[in-house]
Amino acid sequence: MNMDYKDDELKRLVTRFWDGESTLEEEKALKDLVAYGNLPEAYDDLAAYFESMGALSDELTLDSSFDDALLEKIDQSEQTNVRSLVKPRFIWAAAAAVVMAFCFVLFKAPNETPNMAASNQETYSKEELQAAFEQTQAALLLISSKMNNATTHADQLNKFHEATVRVKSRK
Amino acid sequence: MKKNILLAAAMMMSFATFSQDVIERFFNELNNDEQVTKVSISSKMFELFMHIDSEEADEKELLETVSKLKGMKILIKDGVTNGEQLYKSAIKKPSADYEVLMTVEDDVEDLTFFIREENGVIAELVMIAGGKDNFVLLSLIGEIDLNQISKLSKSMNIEGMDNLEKIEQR
Repeated sequence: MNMDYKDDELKRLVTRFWDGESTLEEEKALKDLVAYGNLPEAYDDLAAYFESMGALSDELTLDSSFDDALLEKIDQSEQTNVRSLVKPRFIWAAAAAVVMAFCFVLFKAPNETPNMAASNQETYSKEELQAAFEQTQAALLLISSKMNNATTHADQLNKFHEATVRVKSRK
Repeated sequence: MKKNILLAAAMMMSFATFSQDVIERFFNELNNDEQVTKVSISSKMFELFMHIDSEEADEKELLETVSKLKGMKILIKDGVTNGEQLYKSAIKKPSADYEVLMTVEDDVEDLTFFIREENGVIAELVMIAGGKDNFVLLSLIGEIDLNQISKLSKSMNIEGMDNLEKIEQR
């Protein structure tokens, strides 16, 4: 790179740099001028800028411990995510499953006692079938007769009530 | 989200608890009582009843009633001294799903019928009876037609507890 710039060329170059239009090569040429002290005093602000950027660049240089520290941070972050998101969802899903299973057992159990469940798997002889039928018949007749007795009681009460109303109306 | 799950769980639990029939709880409570006779007729047995050939009108009427039933449980405790006490305890047991159909209380015996409705149909009929020396708990599950049941004893001219003699322990 030719370090001997004419004033006009240098001015144009610096202007292009500040306008953000300079190429990488032009920028490097300017940096070299600053580095070798060949930049006129008129462009001290540019020299100061490059120096400050250079210092900052040095400060920003990362040593090998940065990667380790970063990876450690990532590991911690992943563990935190597992605790805060996955675990609570799992707990609630498990709780819901337990409750549903509990309800299913409660809901299903009353209509089918162990005896009944066992009987579903059996085949019955004619005698057993007849005996069961007679028991069912007896139970239904019992319900029927009790129901009719209760209804008769209610009818008698109704008749008594009707008679009472009639007597009162005659008075 | 959590509130929704809790609400759903509470609703399901309450529904399941209400659905647990009273006779089942008494079956469990009196499980080891030797004075108790327990009978369970399964839905399978009711299905098999349909294969019984009958030419008598009474039995045909009975089979028609039985055809809509899915299960029956009977608990009988005879020769007791605390029948009235057991009755009072039992009538407190039904949950909010059960409604009192009728109650008769006299010197001989106290009697209460409960029904449980599902979609406008009587899905369960529970009869609880307690006298000085007996206690009966009976539950019918299925599609129950009260008129049809009422006709049964009228046509056979049967009264009272005579039919209990026919019920034997299974």
